[in-house]
Amino acid sequence: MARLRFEPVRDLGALTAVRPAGRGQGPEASGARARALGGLVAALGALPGENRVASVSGREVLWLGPDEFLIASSLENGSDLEQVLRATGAGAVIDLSSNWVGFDLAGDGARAVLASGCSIDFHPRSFGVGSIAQTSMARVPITIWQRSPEPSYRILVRPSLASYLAAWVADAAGSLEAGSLE
Amino acid sequence: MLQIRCPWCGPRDEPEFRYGGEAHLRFPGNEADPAAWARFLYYRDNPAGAYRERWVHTAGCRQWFHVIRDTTSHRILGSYRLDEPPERAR
Repeated sequence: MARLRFEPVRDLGALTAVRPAGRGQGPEASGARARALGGLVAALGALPGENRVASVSGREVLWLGPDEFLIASSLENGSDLEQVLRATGAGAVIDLSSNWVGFDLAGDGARAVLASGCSIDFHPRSFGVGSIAQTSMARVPITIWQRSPEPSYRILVRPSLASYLAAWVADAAGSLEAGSLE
Repeated sequence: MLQIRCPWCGPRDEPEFRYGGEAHLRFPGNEADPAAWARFLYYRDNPAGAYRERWVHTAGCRQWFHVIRDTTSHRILGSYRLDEPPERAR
């Protein structure tokens, strides 16, 4: 097993949120929603199921809720990704690349660190590769998803809370003796 | 602390949610008389036992949903989506 690693993501890539059209009930809304989702599938290659991430060639599509996705892309910059998604007519699209700071938490003891600050179950039986959750860690709102079975997790946090979260994780790793940070 | 099952995200701790009061209130209609409006706006049931209420998962998927909570024991008896009947609560 690899040692515990916790490091800022130097190049997080573009992050763009999409709220597909066709919210609400009734045949008109469901038709608009089907067209919006069809356009997104055509542009992105796939859409994730509930609480899942779909990864297709340099882009990750994160399920944030039944009416919201976040697309993380290393293929293009934020405004280009926004244009790509707008062109599908999918609904509300906004570039949020500057809204998030990313961290990667990986290796031995990563689950112990998460468990000390976050109440959801990260055991592989309920949270594996491709699982995503929006929750709070050490009282900070985060978006977290698992990217490899090592395990390795990517954590998105608001920039103003990033240094607090980094300090908190370093402290938790030390006190858990989960393996000192490299 | 309560643990509430979000119908979309699964079981989460209470601080991830906000409370939205009694569920299944009926909009009285624009032509309703003032007494019906007062009942809709200000009158709330206060049972000792199972209570159907609205919650929103603010720290997660940001969806509103319904919860059945026992007001005497604080036990969460189930939750269900807005477009589901209370019988579907689990």
